[in-house]
Amino acid sequence: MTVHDPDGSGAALAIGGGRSSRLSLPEPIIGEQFESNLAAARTGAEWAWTNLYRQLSPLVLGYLRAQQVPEPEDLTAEVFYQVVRSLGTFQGGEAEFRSWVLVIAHRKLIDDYRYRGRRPAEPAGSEVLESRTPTGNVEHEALDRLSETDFRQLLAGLTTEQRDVLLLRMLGGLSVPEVAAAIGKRPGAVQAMQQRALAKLRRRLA
Amino acid sequence: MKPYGKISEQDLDRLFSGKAPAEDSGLQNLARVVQEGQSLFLTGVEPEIEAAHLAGLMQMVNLTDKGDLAARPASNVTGPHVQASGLPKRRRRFMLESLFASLTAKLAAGGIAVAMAATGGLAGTGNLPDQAQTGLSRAAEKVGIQIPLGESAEKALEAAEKAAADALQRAQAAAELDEDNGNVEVVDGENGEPNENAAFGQSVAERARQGGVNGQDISAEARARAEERKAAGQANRPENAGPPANPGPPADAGSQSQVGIEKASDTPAAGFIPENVAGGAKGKPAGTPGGRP
Repeated sequence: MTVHDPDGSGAALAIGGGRSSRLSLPEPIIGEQFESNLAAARTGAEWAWTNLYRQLSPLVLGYLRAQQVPEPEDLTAEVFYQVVRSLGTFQGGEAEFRSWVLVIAHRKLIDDYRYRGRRPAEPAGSEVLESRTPTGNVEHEALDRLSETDFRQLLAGLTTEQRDVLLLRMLGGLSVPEVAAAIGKRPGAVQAMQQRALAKLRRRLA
Repeated sequence: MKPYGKISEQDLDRLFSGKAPAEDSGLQNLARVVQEGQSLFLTGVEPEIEAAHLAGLMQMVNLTDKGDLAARPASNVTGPHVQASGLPKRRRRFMLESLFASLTAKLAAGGIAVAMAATGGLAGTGNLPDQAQTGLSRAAEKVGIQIPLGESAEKALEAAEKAAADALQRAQAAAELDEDNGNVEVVDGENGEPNENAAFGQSVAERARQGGVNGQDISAEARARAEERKAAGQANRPENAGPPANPGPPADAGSQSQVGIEKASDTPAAGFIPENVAGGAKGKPAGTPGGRP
């Protein structure tokens, strides 16, 4: 599924698919396309905001779901409302914009945990995983559910910060400096955290 | 436990970007975990949720846009669509408050501006029909816009001012006569009395403009003001105060136009305060049966 900007330039912007498709990290809109899109969004153009939302909402929602937020869709909406409110303060290119949006997502996550008075340390049970919308392929579903359970079990062995680092890198596509800015740590500390986290995962996988 | 060496930055970049690691890197299992995690969680947003999000997003965009309100008529502004997931109350309330807080202020000011423009400027000159003029004036006042009141409201305002001034005068007269021994008289100079009366009348008029006044309240307030002034006059008596900073002009027995205190008899005990002025509005209301006229 692609979205074209209204001036008919023919540039296709890769966006997320429905729940039945599996995405890798979306390809960035390179160079001028992003700049013109962002400029249009600043003027309130609906098509520009639609593009930005569809480009980044899979990352935001995926990150929040992986963090076991009880209502990830609601929090995703709040992230984009904050993006709208704060767009005037943003300066930079597409990579910076993606990083900026994920930083907002991470901070909304922290706010949500503070509001709820807790942060989940244990993975969600299978009944929570079963509540996710099925894809229609029973065998694939079973593997997915099992995989998601295993994935959460793996992450449960990490500290909160280690999990944040891994998920921001893995699902958000952020670099070490960008992750450091998001969680308020030095890049060196982020590198150390990701090394320790990956070492833990390798031990559990072995 | 087998130790694991540090993973190079290059391998990490490949790992987190979902690419297959080098065959001899020993990272195949980790790469599978990363790829599986991306596959599991980067699935996009369901269409109905996306539609709700985009609708709310555009509402927020419109509210934060600093453009002309006329370009986005208020009648076309609607609340955010009900989201498929059902927002929790906290966020729903927060969202609605955020969305409509500034919108309400814009609508209030914009609506007044539109109404004034629609009257062809008659509102600004006070030439609308009486009720419409008064209603628009009161609505505009709430958003900081001054428009003349309607004719009937103006007349009512004048009547309220006059009533307030009359009430103050009656209260003052009552205060002068209604004291225990009638031995102390506080006479204010002409310069102070009209100004204070006028200020009181203006305050009553202002309250009338805003939403009406209660006659009994006005009378009580007028009486209290008079008694306060009487008490102030008591405190200024030589035996109750220190050396005056400004002795003032010498008393003129034949004139009532100067600030001063006249004693009809010997000085009461120091600290004496007639009970009718102690603490505020006490004493007989002016004009009541049995009270002093």
